Amino acid sequence: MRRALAALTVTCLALACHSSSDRRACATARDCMGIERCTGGFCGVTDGGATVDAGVLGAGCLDSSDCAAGLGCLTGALGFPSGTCAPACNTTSCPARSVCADLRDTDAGVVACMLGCGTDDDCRQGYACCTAFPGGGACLPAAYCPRTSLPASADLGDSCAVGGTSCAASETCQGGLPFPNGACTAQCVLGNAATCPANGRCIDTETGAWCLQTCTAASQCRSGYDCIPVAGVNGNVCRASAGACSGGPIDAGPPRACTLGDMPPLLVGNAGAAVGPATDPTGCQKNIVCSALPAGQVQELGIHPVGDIVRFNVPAGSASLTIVEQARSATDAVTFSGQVQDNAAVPTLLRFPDGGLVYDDNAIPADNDGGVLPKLLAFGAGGSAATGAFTLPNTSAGLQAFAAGGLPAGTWSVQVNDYALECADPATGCNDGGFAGNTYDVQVLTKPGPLPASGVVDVNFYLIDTAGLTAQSATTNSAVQRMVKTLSTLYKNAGICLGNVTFFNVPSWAQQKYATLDVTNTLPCDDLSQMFTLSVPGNALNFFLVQSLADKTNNSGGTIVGIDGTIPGPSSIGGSVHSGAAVSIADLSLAGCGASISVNCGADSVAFIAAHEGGHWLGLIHPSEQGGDQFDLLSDTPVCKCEAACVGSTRAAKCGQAGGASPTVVNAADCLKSSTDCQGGDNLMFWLLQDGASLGHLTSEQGQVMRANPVVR
Amino acid sequence: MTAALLLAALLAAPSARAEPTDEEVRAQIAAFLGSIDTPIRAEQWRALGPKAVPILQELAEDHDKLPTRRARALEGLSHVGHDREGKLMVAMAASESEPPVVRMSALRGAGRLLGPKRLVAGLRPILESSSDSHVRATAAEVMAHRNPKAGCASIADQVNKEPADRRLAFRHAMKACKLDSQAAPQ
Repeated sequence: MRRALAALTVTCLALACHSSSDRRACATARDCMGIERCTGGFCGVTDGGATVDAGVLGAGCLDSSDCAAGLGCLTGALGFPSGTCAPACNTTSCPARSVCADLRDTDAGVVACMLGCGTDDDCRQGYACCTAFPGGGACLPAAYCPRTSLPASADLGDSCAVGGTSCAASETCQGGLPFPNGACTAQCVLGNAATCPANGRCIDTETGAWCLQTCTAASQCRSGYDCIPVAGVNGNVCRASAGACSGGPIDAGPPRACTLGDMPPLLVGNAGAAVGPATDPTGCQKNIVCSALPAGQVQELGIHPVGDIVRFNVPAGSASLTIVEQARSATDAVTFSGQVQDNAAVPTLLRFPDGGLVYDDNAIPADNDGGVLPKLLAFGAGGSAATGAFTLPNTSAGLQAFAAGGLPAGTWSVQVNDYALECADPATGCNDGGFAGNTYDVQVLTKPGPLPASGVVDVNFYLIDTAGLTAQSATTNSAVQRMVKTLSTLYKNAGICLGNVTFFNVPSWAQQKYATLDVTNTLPCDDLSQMFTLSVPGNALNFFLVQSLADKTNNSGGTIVGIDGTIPGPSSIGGSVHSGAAVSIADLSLAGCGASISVNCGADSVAFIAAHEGGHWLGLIHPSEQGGDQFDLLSDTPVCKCEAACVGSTRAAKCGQAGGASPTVVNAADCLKSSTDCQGGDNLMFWLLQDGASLGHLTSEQGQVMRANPVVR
Repeated sequence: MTAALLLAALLAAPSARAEPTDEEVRAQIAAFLGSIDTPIRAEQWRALGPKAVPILQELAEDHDKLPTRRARALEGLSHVGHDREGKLMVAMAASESEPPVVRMSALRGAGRLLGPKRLVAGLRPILESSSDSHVRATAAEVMAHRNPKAGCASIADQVNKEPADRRLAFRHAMKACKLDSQAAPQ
């Protein structure tokens, strides 16, 4: 499900395409308009400095009507002498010969493209060539040019009273996540360390770009701060030791006793009020969230750089353990074989108390027939950046090894790891050299054993696309009720019943932003991941109901009807970038519905999709992928191989690489044959839904993996 | 990591193949329409060839099928169809009686099948008059990507008419047109 980043298409607009041929000839100023003058036979704006064609980027203006389409006017009242036409660059790149300047800390309060320059002579009067921003010089009012080459600060990073005036003149006392107990700091320009004092570095923190104190050892940092490396920054800095834990669950209600397949009551979450920020947050949200499990099941191991070996205790008789890595400071992507991939947060070198190896992410064997991976004791399947979860057991061998007495009790160890660290080894075939300085918060969740024969899962639904519903009306809607009942019936096959089923409203900005979801990319700051940060604290399956999921950036199609944030999901951790699954609500209706469950019934189809994505959250992967050449981690799941017995000899000739860009795919009919190699089309986790074939079946081991997940109580 | 990364590399490997049989086409279409979270790549649709066109069109126009299946059929049709199917896409996109997910898929399909000028001519009325804000926003996205020169002015006009809380739906189009909501500093 992870796809390569695609280059954005940069369109040619009036601004970018402005050329000398657009210049209007003149004899006198009467031939020109507004504030233009006739200079050198052409209309333009001159104020004693460099001349700029009227209306284009950098030209003078009184208001936006003086500027070309797509540009606004930064007026004199905002501190720009005679005004200047500029487009924003908070989400887009700048045209040639201009530089993106972050001016949010000025009266202008914008991030805008400013005219590029080499010297002050290239700028209009009142503007200087400011070289503080990456990308070259930018014509700016001198007062708006961040200072550079600053001397060392005596109090950078020192404790202070937030909002007070005890810091040096050019600094302020900031609080919040990056600065627990307050710290003296200064705003700065990312990518330009010279905008910080000589003993500071500019860091992209949770609250913006701030100067953090450099360090070479932990002893140089205050209590509560660690000396850590940061990607793209030379040297280590003192950063807050750990993220703050979120509060308790919202409206979780008392645990509901349920029976398999029963119809749960439908609840309204947060008293019907929308969850999440009231306005669209600026910047990327990457929260570190503490588990909502009882304290006895959670071990918070703190912030660690990749490569660290951390140790934790597994109580006797534990049914499962889950290791959750959440990025404190990490690169989002790696480049492997020329393709950009999510920098998966996945632990490695997991060891038993006796030192025996449980899992090595760098030593995964090939599995051409579905018989190899199930023999591993565990497998890291997620592939997601910034937040990754790893639950053991999730393979046949693991289930069998720990069935009797649970996981071996005692002190286990694991290496904090991500793909970027693995890429630092040239032998991996990565193209970017990797990075060995990322840091992660590590939590270990243990589930008391023995693994129960049945369990309960709470479910949250977030109405991103309302389909005419509110959280209140959803609870009495017939199609919604059918969908939930079918979900309950499907999970009965895994020995799981639905506890509290809660519907949440979201703010209108989130409905507009995410209802037709762009799933081109799944990196932490992309729409899918940012939407999941709306999930409330607590321990539940979070389903985000959207209208559609499409590739909008490339506009090349590739629509899907569901997607899970990561496999398995970060259970008991609501509000992270992967704390949910998105499901299309477009089919939600009673059309085509009869007495029995059918994928031709709209409500049932939505339930199937939710159950499938929830299965991923609970740790399952497709028993057979569409090519019939990749299989899951369990030996009792039916496999469907792309071979003559299943697909016939003609199509078998085009299996795998022999099929080129469009190899044969195994469909449901192929996978419901008598041969043991041609089965699984009726399984809930098969890669497609098809009328007459999809029955939502789950095997015994699939049920065990699902119930081993900490979201099941 | 190796398995996942190698898979991605393998998927990128090109090769030639022969035209599929009727039976193969129908089986492939049935599978493609039912895919849950595995995207069907353009190459996979194109490999179905012209035999897929009438099958996909029939599925797309079948109101007894679920909206997401019909939308997926339109997506496939847009990769194997031609000008005639482009007109169908515009007609379905313009129809207020069609579900939004079908209309949005038709809009994206029109973007693949129609030339830039005809595309803008066909989609502009939908941009300006559809009752569904997400359909309007999708029309804007397609126009912005396929013909920004002719489309962005209309998009800018429409965005200015939209209530403030609806403009976020247009942000992909605005980004392509460099009309980001915070683009105009004033």
